[in-house]
Amino acid sequence: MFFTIQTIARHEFLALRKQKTFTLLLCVFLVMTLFSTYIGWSTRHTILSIYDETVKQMAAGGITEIPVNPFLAAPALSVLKNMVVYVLLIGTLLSIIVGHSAFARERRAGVVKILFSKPFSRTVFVLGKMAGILFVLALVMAASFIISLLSVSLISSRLLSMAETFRLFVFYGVSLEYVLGFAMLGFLFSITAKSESLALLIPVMIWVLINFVMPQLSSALDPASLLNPTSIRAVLPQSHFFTTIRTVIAPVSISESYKLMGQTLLESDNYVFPVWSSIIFLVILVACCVHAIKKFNVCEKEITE
Amino acid sequence: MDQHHDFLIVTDGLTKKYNTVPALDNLNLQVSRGEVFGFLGHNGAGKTTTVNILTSLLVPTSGRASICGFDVQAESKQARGKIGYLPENVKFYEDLTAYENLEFFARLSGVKHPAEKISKVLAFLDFPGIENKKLGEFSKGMRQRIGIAQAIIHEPEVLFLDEPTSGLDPMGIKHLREVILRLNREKGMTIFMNTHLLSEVARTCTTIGVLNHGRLVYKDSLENTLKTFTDDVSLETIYLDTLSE
Repeated sequence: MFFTIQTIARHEFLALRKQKTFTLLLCVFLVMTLFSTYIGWSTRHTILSIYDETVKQMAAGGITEIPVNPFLAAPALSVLKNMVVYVLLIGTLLSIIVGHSAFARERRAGVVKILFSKPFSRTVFVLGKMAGILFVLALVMAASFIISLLSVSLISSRLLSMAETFRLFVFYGVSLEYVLGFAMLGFLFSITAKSESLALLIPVMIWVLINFVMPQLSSALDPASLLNPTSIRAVLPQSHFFTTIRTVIAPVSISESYKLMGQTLLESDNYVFPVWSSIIFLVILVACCVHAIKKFNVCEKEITE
Repeated sequence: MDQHHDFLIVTDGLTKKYNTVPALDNLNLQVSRGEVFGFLGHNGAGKTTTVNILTSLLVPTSGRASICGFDVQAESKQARGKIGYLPENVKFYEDLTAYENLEFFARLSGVKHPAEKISKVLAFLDFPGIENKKLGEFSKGMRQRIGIAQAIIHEPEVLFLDEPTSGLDPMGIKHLREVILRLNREKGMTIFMNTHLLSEVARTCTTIGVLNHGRLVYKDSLENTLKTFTDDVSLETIYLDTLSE
């Protein structure tokens, strides 16, 4: 059983390497990882310049009591804050493609009949595919982790401390868990949807809902929370309608939870590992996998065609 | 385990309906070890449905079937471990090389060290030097050879061939015929071949069965078949007579 799972997982990796859409999205993701460090550094550099200029003008105006620059206290990893958005947008899209391709490839190649005439159970097939998806996405996150680690060290002109490295590792671990959810979504629909286009359309619709619609109905209705770097959320007068919507949507908005986790891990000194959110998401993920295993069946139409 | 140990393929009242339309109607069939069984029938007679059930790809509406004593439904994994299967119009992962395709299917068939097996099977099929070529560059005949390679790489006891000559040129058909005979004689494989080419049946098969609208209307050894009828009666006449009865 383990040998077959390993074979299917290995094949998944091999086949994805040769898939153009995957390669393109992977390149975009890794390049954006590199750029996120540069963008973060550039933004910080600009803000510090503005602060210095303001201090000069204040001093020239005779003001002697100058507040401490709040950006100097920001952790080194805070230059990576854009990675949260890149994982949310490109990472999840890449994952949907990985999950979707896992079975769409077999259908498109027309190898379903040969494949399922071989001596393994369909559960083993699904487990092998899941292992392959996990392996590929873990490699993507590992590559991104290394790029981030090196680029931040280079920009900071020092090696990151063990604590910082661990924190970055946790960020990519949580990101892997997050994108894995989308990959499973792509895989689930690729093995259950009746047509290939529908199998891709439904996860993309869910992706839009999670990444765009729900944030609009939660944090976007609380604009003061987006102010950076302050963690104090100003209470602005809002209508009861918007407040209610935000209160209801925010706790179930997965992308908002992920953003908060990312921001906490990268930008705050006192981060707390998001245990409960991770466990809840993990439970959803496992449920998704179990459902995929139970639901999977090569339909009669597919064989007779 | 099935009780019919003398036969490698046994079907007992096998019936398959698509919605209410019967594709296979109460098929009772036995194929002994070492036979090359030619399964004849018109298009839509139920030949492919039979193979799909025997390879555990389809679930029968009623009846049962076994391969090497293993029930194709209840012990499907064991039954599939005994077979090799070449579907009609065989397809592969076109962006992968011949080696990558064969390695994958060999491993799925339980071959632990596929490299050696791949070179052996390609040598057996007289098809060397193609390992690193992508399947997308292959002709129909070349794909068919790779199809046979993936079906026999684990040296199965029973080999199912579904319209193996479909779309092949005369050279390809000749080569395939030689391969089938060698597999049967040298490797002792029992071969179940769906076809509508009577000339191929006459040259390769030891037993024939004729399926008409899902029903088995004739089954006997090729030798007996030719004895029963006069020498100058062609197999085609026998076939057409059987169908018209």
